[in-house]
Amino acid sequence: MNFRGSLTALILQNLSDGPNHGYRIAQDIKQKSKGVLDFKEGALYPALHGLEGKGLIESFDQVENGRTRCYYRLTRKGKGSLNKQKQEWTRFSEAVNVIFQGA
Amino acid sequence: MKTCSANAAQELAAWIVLATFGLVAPARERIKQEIEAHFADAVVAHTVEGLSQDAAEAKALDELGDIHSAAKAFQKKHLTEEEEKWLQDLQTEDHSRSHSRRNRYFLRLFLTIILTIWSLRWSTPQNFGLMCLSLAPLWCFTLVSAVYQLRCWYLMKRMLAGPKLWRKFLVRDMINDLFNAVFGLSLFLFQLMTHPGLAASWFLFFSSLFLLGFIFFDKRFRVWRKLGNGLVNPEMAVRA
Repeated sequence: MNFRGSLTALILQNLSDGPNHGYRIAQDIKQKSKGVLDFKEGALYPALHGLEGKGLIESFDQVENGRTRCYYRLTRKGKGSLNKQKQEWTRFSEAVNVIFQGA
Repeated sequence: MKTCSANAAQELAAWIVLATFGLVAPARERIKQEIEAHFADAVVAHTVEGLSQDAAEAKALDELGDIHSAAKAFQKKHLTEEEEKWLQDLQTEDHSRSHSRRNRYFLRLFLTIILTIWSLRWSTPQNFGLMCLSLAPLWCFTLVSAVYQLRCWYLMKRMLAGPKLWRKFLVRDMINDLFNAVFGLSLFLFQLMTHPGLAASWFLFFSSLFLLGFIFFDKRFRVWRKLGNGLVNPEMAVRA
């Protein structure tokens, strides 16, 4: 399913549960959506780097199984942005649902 | 990578090289580390699912997606080598005196003079729209350029250099651009005064087009967007 505009919101939502690295973020999104939200994982990292550039998330290195991994966590600004995006999405989906139910 | 065969490692290396082509070294290194770790995790996960090593590697590589799309996306988020060179040039003494820069300046000056003579000599109510079309790029370029210089000056001052640079930056470039902007604006006002009420909307329309063009394609604005919200960019902090 094409959800290009929503990937950043999904990443922010995933990181609201705690710090995570790229691979796990991708798997979490795919698993929680039961495979509906499928995307090429190469697209994930530019999105992560873009969010970091905007100050919505921040990265830090953490050693895991003897290997240094780049983890990401939500910033305060990111939390604010996530709440805003959730509200917008709720309004949008409610409006679409009303139209679909009336059809 | 322990979990990866030589063939897969080669294919992955090629993917990374192409996806990060032209980016600055710190960005390339960072992406390489992340993608390699991602790939290793994916291969392990697919092997656990029951795939053979070769099939797991092929699937993990396929999941990374199209190289060209990834390269395009990375180029939008990270500084390229060309942009880095441009930023570094701003810090050097030779920047304002470089040949290409001087040539561009003289070209703009030449165009200004030609257009001025043309406007003053042959301006009529009938060709006012065409006049405006000719002047709009020049006027927009200089005005937008002046605004960007100011923004870049702020960024440079904050991120890259000491107090010497901003003075150099401000004095040498801003005066040139402000002079051109005022000159271009005066010409436009002159046109409006000599032919009031004629096709001013033409000018506004074409001005907007060029303004939008500069916002999206001007190198300074592109770099500004990449440098983010004023936070010190890790790629530039390495060089600061």
